[in-house]
Amino acid sequence: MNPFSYVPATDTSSAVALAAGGAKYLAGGTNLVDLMRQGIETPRELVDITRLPLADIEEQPGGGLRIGALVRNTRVATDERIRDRYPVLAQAILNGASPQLRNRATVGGNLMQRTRCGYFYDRHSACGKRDPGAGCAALDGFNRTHAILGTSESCVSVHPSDMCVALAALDAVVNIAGRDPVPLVDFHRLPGDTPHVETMLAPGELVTSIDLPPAQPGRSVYLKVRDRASYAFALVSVAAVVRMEAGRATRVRIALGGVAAKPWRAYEAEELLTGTSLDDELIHQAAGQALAGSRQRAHNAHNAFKAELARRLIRRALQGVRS
Amino acid sequence: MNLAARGFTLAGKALTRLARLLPDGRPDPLAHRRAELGRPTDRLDGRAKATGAVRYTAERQLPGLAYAVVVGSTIARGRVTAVHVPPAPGVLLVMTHENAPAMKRTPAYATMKGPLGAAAMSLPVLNTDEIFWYGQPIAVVVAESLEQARYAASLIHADYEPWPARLSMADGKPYTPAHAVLEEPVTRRGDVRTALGAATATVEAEYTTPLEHHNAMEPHATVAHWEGDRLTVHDTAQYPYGVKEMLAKKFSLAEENVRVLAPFIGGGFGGKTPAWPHVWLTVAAAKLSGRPVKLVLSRADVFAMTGGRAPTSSRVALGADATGRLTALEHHALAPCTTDEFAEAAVAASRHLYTCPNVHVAQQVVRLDRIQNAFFRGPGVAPGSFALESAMDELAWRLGLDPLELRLRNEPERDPMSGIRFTSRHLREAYALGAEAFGWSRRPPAPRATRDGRWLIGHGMAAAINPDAVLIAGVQLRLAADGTVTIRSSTNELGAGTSTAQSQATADRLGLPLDRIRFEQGDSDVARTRIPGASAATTTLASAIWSARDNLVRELLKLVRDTGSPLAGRSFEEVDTRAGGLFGPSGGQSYERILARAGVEAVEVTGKSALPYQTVKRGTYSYGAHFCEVRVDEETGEARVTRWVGAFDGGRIVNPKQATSQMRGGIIMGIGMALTEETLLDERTGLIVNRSLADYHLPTHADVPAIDIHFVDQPDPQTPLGAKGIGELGIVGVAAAIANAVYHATGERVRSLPITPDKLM
Ligand SMILES: Cc1cc2nc3c(=O)[nH]c(=O)nc-3n(C[C@H](O)[C@H](O)[C@H](O)COP(=O)(O)OP(=O)(O)OC[C@H]3O[C@@H](n4cnc5c(N)ncnc54)[C@H](O)[C@@H]3O)c2cc1C
Repeated sequence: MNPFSYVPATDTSSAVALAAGGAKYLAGGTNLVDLMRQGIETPRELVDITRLPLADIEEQPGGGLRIGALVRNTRVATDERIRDRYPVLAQAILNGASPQLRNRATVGGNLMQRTRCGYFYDRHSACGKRDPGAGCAALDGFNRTHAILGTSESCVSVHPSDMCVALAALDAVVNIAGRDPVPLVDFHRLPGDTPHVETMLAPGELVTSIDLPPAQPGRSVYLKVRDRASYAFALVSVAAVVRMEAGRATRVRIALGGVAAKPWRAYEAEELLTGTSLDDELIHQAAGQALAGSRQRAHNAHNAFKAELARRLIRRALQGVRS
Repeated sequence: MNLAARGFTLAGKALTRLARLLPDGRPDPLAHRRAELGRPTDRLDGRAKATGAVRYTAERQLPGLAYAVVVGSTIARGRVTAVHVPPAPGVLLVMTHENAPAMKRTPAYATMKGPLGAAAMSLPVLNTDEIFWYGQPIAVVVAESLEQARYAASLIHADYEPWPARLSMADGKPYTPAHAVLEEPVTRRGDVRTALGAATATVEAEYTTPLEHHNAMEPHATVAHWEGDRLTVHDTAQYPYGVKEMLAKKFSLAEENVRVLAPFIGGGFGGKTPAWPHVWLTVAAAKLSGRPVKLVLSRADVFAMTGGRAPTSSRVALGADATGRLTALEHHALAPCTTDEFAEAAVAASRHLYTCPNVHVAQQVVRLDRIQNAFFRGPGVAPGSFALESAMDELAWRLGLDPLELRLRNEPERDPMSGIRFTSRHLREAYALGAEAFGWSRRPPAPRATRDGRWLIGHGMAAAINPDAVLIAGVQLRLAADGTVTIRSSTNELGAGTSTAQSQATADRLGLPLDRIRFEQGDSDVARTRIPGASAATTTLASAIWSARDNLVRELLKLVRDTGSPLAGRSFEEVDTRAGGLFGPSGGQSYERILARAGVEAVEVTGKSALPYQTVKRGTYSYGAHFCEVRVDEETGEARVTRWVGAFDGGRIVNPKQATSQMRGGIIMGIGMALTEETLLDERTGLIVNRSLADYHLPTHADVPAIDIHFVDQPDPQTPLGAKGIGELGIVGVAAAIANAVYHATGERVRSLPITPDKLM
C-alpha cells in the first residue's frame, strides 16, 4: 500500500473540492482498500465520504425513491419500500457478497466497484485497465468468468455487481454532483480501446444518489448462477421485470450480469417480447436474440458456456414472471 | 523403471518378506476399557480458543520485534540479474541472494533422503540467483513495522534473465519415480490386458483432479529470535522436531541450541508438515538484522510460497466377470514433481481396496518448474480414489449391479497387493451402517429418476481408505505430589483435538479423572518426535504415554520398595494403574500417598512410542463408506450436496465428538474438492491467478448439508488404544461419491474435478 493522506469530508461540495486534486473517495472501502493493498490503486489522498448526508432513502415526488450514494447495501435490501416496490433490487443485493460485506458496502461503491479479473489484480500481468495499451492477459489465460458481450481485444473483464443488474432493469438513474443525471445503463462503459475508462464519471466526480422511477405493477425476478451456493460472483445473472396487462406484456426489462463490462440490457429481446403474451417460443427467440452478439474467441474460450447459460436463465426468468 | 525405482521396489519386497518374522502389535488393555476414553468430551482448549486466550504464532510479541515481508519472483525459471531496492522508511534490512547468510542445503521431505517432513525442498533459496518457480522468494524485507515492511516490499523489483520454464504436464516426459510416497511406484500381477479382453464388463476412462491448496485458516508464520548462537523459533509447524533438526543443519548449530515452539496450529492439513523456505529465511533475516523477526505470509504468499496438492491424471481400466468379480484393475497415474522428486501418488487406493487377480498399477511423474508439492489431507488416496471409485461406479452401471454390492463382492480377506493380513478391516460393517442410515436400498435403480422442481436428485456412494501409520514420539510425564499429571510432547494441537484425546488416554492409562491431567505441547525440546502428519498423532502419542506409564510404575515401585506399603516388593507385572493409584494383589495406594510417603515433590519419567512392527507386518488401514444425495439443476449446471452419511472404521473411537468433527471436516473439504476448489496456475507464466479466499472457492456454510457420521467403533487388536488414524480418512472418496450421485441424478459422468456448472449444463 502506498503512503496516502486521509481527509474526512463533511459536505458534498467540500468533498468534491477536496477530490479535485486527484484524490479517491473512500466509502465502505471493501473494494478500494483491497485494491490499494495489492498496489492496483495508488491514490495519494483519500477523501472519506461516509459522513456526507447521502445515507437516506427518500420518497420522490411522483412515487419514485432516491437512494443516497452512501446507503449501505444491507439497508437497501432490507428497506420495506424497496422490498415492496422493487423486490428485484433487494434480491440482487442479497445474492451478492456476504452479510459482513453488504453491511459495509455502499450503493455508490457498489456502482463504482472494479472488475475481479485475476490479471487486473496482479501487477505483473498485462492489463489495459491498469496500463493503457498493455494488452490483456485474460484473452489467452483464465477467462472462464469473463465477458462474452461488448468485449474488445484490449479487455474481456466483467463488471461484477449484482445490484447494478437490477438497477439496469429498473431504469434507474445516477445522480452526480454538479452535473445532469445519467441513466444507469449509460453509466458504465464498454472497453473498446480504452478499458481503463470504466464509467462516464470524470476523475473527482461524486455520485450522490440513485433514483428509482415509480414502481410499475408487475413481476420481477433476479436469478444468479455461481460456482458455490453463496459468496461468489455471478457466472451469469438475470434481472427481469415484466408488466402484464390483459395477458400481454406491456413492459419488459431484461438485464444480464456476469457477461459484460457493464450491466447488459437486452433491448432487442425486450422489444421482441413487448406486446406479446410471452409464449415459450417467443421467449426462446428473445433469449437467442439477447445473446446474438455474444463473442467467444476461437480458441481458449473457457467462458463459451456463458452464452447458453444466459439464454437458459433468461427463459427461466421470463417463464417465471409471465403468469 | 529407473535404477532408484527398482532399488526401492526390491527393498520394499524384501521388507515385506522379512516382516513376517516381526512381532505383532502389543494388545492394549485400554482398547476395551471405557472411562474417559470413548466419551464425547468437549475439547479442553475450546474455551481458550473461542475467547482468544490461546496465542498463535502470528500473535507472538517479543521485545524489539521487527517485521518481515517476502518478495516473490515474477518468473518461473531463470536468473535474477538485479534486485532494485528503492529507499523506504523504517527498513532495517533487505536480504537478497547477495547478502543472505549461507544456509546449508538439506534434503526435501518425503524424498527418503533425510528425515521425513523437515525442509520442503532442497533448493538453495536466496543462496543462489537461480529461480526455480514463480513466487520464489527473491528478497526479504525487515522493517520496524509491518506496514513499513509491506510498503518497502511493494517497491522492490528485479531484473531477470528468463529461461524456458516447464509448467504444463505436456511440457515434460513422464518417468517412473523412485517411490510413490513410500510405496513402490509400479505393481504388476497377472495379465491385465488379457483379462480386460475376456471381461464381461469393462470401464476404461481418464480422470483428472486439479492443483489445490490447503487454505488452513491460519496462514504460515514464523518468529525467529537469536541469543548468541541459541535460536528460538515460534512457528506454525506441524512437525516442530523436524524443523528444529533442519534449522540446526542449515545454520550449523548444535541441535540443543535450537528450540522450536508450536503449541497451537490453526489448521495444517499437510501444508505445514514441511518447513517452507520462509521459515529458514526468517531465521536468516533475524541473524542478519540482529533483531527478533516475525514473518506472517499473506494469503497470496501462502499460495505462491507453500506447495499444494499436485494435479493428477489417472487412466483407470476395470474389468469384471458376470458375477461382478473384478478380473482386471489397471491404474496409471501421472502427476508433476519438481527437482525434489515427490509426487502425488494417486494409485494407493487402487492397491489396497479391492481384490483382483490381474493388476497393473503405475505411478509416473513429470518434472516441472513449480514449487514442491505438499502433502495434503489424504495425499494420493484422495485424488486417486476419485478415479478408482468413479470407475467402480461406472462398472456397476455396466454390470447392472448396485455399486455397493459390487464393492462387497470384491472385498478382500488379505491385503490385495502383498497377501499379508490386515490388523483389522471392518469395511463391510461400515458399508452396512452407512447404507442403513442413508436408506441406500431405497435408491431408485435408474439415473434421472427423481426430480424436485428444477432439481434432479441423485444418490451416490464411494469407499474410503487411508493408510494407518504409527510413527515415532517421545513424551515427558510428571506426576506431582498432589496427584496431578503433566504430559509434555513435541507434537502439537493442529485443531484436531490431540490434546483432549491424549488427556483422555492419559487419564485412563493412569486411572485418574480427566481434570488431573495437563497436556503441554509443541515444544521441540521435549523429545525426538516424528509425527509430521499421516493421521498418526493419536496412536503414536498414546504409545509413548503408555511407555511413560510403564516407566512411572517402575519408579513408583522403587519408591515403595522398603516401606510398609502393600505394594512393597511387588513386581511390575503384578501391579496396575487404576482408581487414582497403583494396585497389586494385596491392595494398593493412591499416587498422592506414595509420593507423600516417599517425601518427593514429583516423579518424572519419559516414554517412547513402541516401534510399530504391526504396520509393516500387516496391512493397517482405516476405512469408510460415504453415501450422499446431490441435487443438480440441469439447466444451469449447479450441483448442490443436500445430504451426507459417512460410516467409518477408525478402530476404537477415542472421543466420538472430536472424531465426528474430524470426519465432518474431511467431508466438507471433500465437497470443496468435488465441486469448487481449483488453483488456477497460468501455464504461460506460473502465476497463480486466484490466490485469495474470494477467488479460490472453499465451501461456504450454504454448500454444506447436514452430515451424519457413524463409527463401527471396533478396537484394532494391534494398535495403541485399539485406535486407527482418522484425520485424513474423511476426505477420501468424497469427490467420487458426489460424482457418482451427479451421474445418478443426471446420467452425466464428470471425470474432471471440480464439477463446476459449465461441466454439467
Ligand atoms: C470477497 C468479496 C466478495 C464480493 N462479492 C460480491 C458479489 O457477489 N456481488 C456483488 O455485487 N458485489 C460483491 N462484492 C463487491 C462489493 O459489492 C463491493 O466491494 C462494494 O459494493 C463496494 O462498496 P464500498 O462502499 O465498499 O466501496 P469502496 O471500496 O469504498 O469504493 C469503491 C470505489 O468506488 C468509488 N466510490 C465510492 N463511492 C463513490 C461515490 N459516491 N462517488 C464516486 N465514487 C465513489 C471509490 O472511490 C472506489 O473507487 C464482493 C466484494 C468482496 C471483497
